[in-house]
Formats: sequence, structure tokens, C-alpha cells
Amino acid sequence: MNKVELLAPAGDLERLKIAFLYGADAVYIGGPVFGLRANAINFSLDELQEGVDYAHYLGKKVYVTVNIVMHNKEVGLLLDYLQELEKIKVDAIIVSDLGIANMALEKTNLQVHLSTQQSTLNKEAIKYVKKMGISRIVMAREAKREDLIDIKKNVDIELECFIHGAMCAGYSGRCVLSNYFTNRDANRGGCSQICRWDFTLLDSSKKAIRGDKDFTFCAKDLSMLRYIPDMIDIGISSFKIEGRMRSSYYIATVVGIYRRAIDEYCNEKRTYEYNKEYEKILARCANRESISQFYDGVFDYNASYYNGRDEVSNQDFLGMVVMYDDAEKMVTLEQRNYFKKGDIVEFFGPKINTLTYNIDEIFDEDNNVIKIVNHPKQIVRLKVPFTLSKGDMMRKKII
Amino acid sequence: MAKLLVIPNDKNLDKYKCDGFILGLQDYSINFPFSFSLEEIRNIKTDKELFISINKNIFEEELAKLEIILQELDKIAIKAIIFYDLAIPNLKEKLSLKKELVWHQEHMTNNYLTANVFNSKGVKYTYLSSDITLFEIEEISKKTKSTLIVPIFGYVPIFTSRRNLVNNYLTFFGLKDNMGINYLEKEDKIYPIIDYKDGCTVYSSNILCGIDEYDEIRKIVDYVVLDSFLITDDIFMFVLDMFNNNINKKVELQQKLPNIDTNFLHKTTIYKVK
Repeated sequence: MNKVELLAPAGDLERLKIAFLYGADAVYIGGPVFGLRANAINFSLDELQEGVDYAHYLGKKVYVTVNIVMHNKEVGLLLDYLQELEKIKVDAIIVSDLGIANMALEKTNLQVHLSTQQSTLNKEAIKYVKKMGISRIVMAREAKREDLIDIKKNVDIELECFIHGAMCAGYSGRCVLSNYFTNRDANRGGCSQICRWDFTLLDSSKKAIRGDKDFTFCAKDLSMLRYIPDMIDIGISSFKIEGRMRSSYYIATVVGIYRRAIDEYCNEKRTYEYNKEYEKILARCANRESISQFYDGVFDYNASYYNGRDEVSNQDFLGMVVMYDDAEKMVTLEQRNYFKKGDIVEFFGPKINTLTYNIDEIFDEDNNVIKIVNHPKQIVRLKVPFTLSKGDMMRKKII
Repeated sequence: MAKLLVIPNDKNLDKYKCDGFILGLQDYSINFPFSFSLEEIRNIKTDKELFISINKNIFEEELAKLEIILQELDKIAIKAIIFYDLAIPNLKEKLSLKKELVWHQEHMTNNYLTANVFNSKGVKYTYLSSDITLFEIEEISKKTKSTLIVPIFGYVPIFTSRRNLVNNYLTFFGLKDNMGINYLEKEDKIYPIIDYKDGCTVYSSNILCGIDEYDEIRKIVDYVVLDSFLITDDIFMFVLDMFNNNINKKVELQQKLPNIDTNFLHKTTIYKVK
């Protein structure tokens, strides 16, 4: 069985390292220009080089989003940028504009993946871009299971599918709500998430039709945890996690869970069992309820989300392990959210199973005993009986 | 001088004074007042140019019928097929079709380089997006050999979904509707929203109207498009007359349609947010 790639988002170098630590095989990141998250921090060329070198040292990959839809003024800047990416040795670029794809394929040796912005749904469209030299398709989120099976049967090309995260409410590439509401160009990185706004729905005589909540485009999030074995068997090459603007904690949690699910299935296919605990952890980490969306044909009102945002996840993240002293059984933590003596917490990490711990004693950097930890990035030490590693995380206990 | 294409809101095409039409094809087009069956297209008697728009996203199960449709359209005296999905240029190659194609990936047809890439692959027409400026249109016209089509009047589809978002909302909250066109209201503006068999589209609050720019645009592109979708027949005929005679009656039109606007013809979208 070819092992499927687990592809994670990374908004910066710290998150790139976290993604790899927690089991991603590859990350996708935005460079300084031409990416669809103009509002994110993104990587400078030097940081890209550092990220790529780090990934290659680990035997992993970095894909760079060059997925804007160009206007004329960008055309003249394109080739220099592509050549820079080639020099940096990025493993592929993700492209939606076929003008960019063509230039990359004709003038550089870059591998080109077709972005989901093209909303690719069928084998004929895939054959068209494959002839250009495009080596991978990021499938439209609207693709059904049967579509994927049929495409795999008919075209020899890598398919990348989203498995987790927020959903666009519309076809990618066909949504320019931001352009018309905020003058920010959705297809050039300015998406201002108008689909999360509330609206009043009017009837044809322009009278309001009011439900208990206002109208929104918003869809529930995507979670394909239950379908991981099925998607592996279909032959999907890469499982993509959405969210280049997500936190380190989110990336660690989601990547870690999918890493385990993939490995458990690939290592012991016959005895594999779906783990409900994983589902619970992912649910806790999500902003919205998650479902499998179009994969199994659900896009009716059950897939819509009218309950507003409820961002509990980042408050779950309490601290990052900086180091562990085996002799003293003492962990040094960098605080992320408020916690105190007496809290029941969990440690998790790429190499440990979830470990529950009742916080007994807390020491500050000067070894004073303290009861609460409420300063951002405060360094504290806890007496913990089990071995931890740098990069492990402490969170609220998930019940 | 640019030819004038109309997206009609009446199947009686004789009433429109124009050079040609863009028509929707049953089951394969979105954002049209109505669509024509293949048989109806075959039976259209006109000496005007016909462009058939296949502008929906194509799913696997629609490919077999699409192949048949394209082969049939190839035999009919139409000018060209407008496409969104990249399946269509591939099927043209696969089936050795002769009919010209128009690249119209809605909001993605924004620059000369990509137009030239499609041109080099045999797609000789480009239908530009409504998100670019007059200056950008001019530059594209100078730097591409493609035959250019430019929207100059009409509502702009600004969001397309596979979901039936109006029906989903009504069903979720157990509401009833009179089944006409719906609207979304935000900050004193209203945006038409329409559910249909394959999904849902939201349209711009303002109607694009480039009458002030018409003199300039018609010198630099090959076709301009007047779209009647969601416009009443009498007003649309007024608009058509205005463009046909190139008489700027914008003030009078504004009394009938206060929401006309030049949209992005003179204003650029923000690219770098920070």
C-alpha cells in the first residue's frame, strides 16, 4: 500500500516545525507574494529557505502557494519569483491561474499542483491540465466519493483532498463576495470571510423571512476522520488539513490525530478500529461542528451552520513543553492560557499517548511556589512523574 | 468597433437589435433568465451570432451527456461555446471538434498572460471578468491576440455554491417562502440570491453599467455583453436602445435603475491587505 501523505498548513516557521514534529509529511505555506492569504504573516524568501532546508533534512516536503488569480500588474513579477522558489528547492507550487502554471512548467523545473481554486471535479478537466504537466490536483471540496473513484480509475495523477477544517460555502474561485462587500480581492488573497456574516433573507417582495437566527452562508466544518481508511483505499495521494492561519495547538492536535489514524490503518489494516476518542479530541479543537460534507453527498440544511462562532479551542491550550528534566522529574512549560494549582490537565505529543495529570505544585523561574499561571508565555515548572519532550503540549482535560 | 451581444430575457430573439446572443443550455448553464434545449438551439432561425454558454461546474456523471451535447453543438451554426469547466477544452481535443471556444472562468479571466496561454492551446476567445479596470482591459487588448468579450451591463454573479442555501435556511427554521427571487440584505443594500437545481448564486447589489466608458471600450474589444438577467423587459429594451445608438441616457436610466454602477471599471480591488 502506498502510504498517503499527510499535508498540514503552516503559517510560519514555528508552525512548520510543529506540523512536522506531530507527523505531517509535508506542509503548504505562503511566500511573500502571489498567495491567497495576503492577510497572514507568510514566509519571507529567507524563511522559506530555512523551512525547506529543515523539511528536507527530515525527509519531508514543502509546497508553496502561488495561487492568486493574476491581474496584469502581477505578470511582470512572476518569473523572478518562480525562479526564486526554484532556487530554494521548494517541492512544488500550488497554482490556480493556468498562466502561472504554464510559466512555471515552461521556464522552471518546479512541480506544479493545481489549486482547489479551480474547483476541479472531473477526469476530463484533469486530463487537460495533466497534458500541461501538472502533477497533482487539489480536488474541489464538492467532489463526491464516486467522483474520486472514477477519476482514480481513469487518470494516473496524484489527487489531494481536504480532510479537515473550514469549508468554503461556495465553489472556490467563483466567490468574490469580498470584492463586492469590502473591495478586497478574494482571488488575490483578500478573502474577508463574508460567508461568515449574518444577513437578512428577503422574499421576492423584499419582506424579511426570519428564522430564529439570521441567514448565513456558513457551512459546518469538514472532518473526514471516519473515512480515512476508505480514502486510503480509493488511492488518494495526499490528505490536506485546512488552515494556514490556525494556531500551533490546532495544528499539533489535528495533525497528531490524523497521523495516528493513518498509521493505525496502514500498519494493521485488518484489525483497524475507528477510535471515537480521536473524534472527541478533534471536536474539542474545532470552531464549529464537523461533518463529512460532499464526500458522502450531504450538502442539505444539515451541512449549514447557523449558530455563530464558538471558539473554545484555543483556550484549551495551556502550555508548551520547553524541556523535561528526567533526574528531577520536572517539566519546564511556556504558558499559553490561564491555569492553576488543582487543575486536571492532559499532556499530549507526537510520541506519547495522552497523559492525565492533576497539577500539584507550580514553580516560577526563580523556584518560588505559585498558585496561578496567568501571564502570556510565562515560564513555569511543574513536577510531573512521566517523561515529556520538547514540543509536547498541555491542554485542559477533554471530557 | 465592438459587436453587441445580448443575454435575452425573452425567447423571441427577433425583438432584440444586436449583433448576437449568449444563450444558456438546459442543465449546463447557470445565471441565465432561461436556458434553451439542444433542440431549441438547433431550431433558432437567426442570422445573428450565437454563443452557447456551458458555464456550470461539471461533475463526473455529467460528462457522458456533455460529450453528446458538444458533438451536436459542433454541427449547429453557432459562433462559439463559452466554458467555465476545463473539461470542455479537453473534450474539444478528444472529440476533434471544430467549434471555437471562449475561455470564461468568470472571475478568473483577469490578465493577458493567461488569455495568451489559452489562445496558444486553441481557445481563441476570452470573455473577461467584471473585476478588472478599464485600464486593465486596454492593456489586455494590446497584449493578447485573443478575441475579447467584455461585460458592460448587468448584474454580476458574485458567489456560486453547490448548496441550495435559501432552501437550506428555510428548511432548517421551518419557514415558508413565496418561491420568487430572494434577496440578502446587509447595510441597506440588497443582493439577489437564487436557488436552482444545481445550487445557488448571489448577485451584485449594483448593476454594472459602462455607458460612460462604452465609446472607449468598443474601440478596444471585439464584443460587449448586455445581460438582461433580473432586469425587466422594458428597462432592458431601454438599455439596449441606449447602447445601440450610443446615446448616454444614464441620468434617465438611473431613475429607472438607481443601483447602476461602474463597479470595478475605475477602481481596483485591494490585493495586499496589509
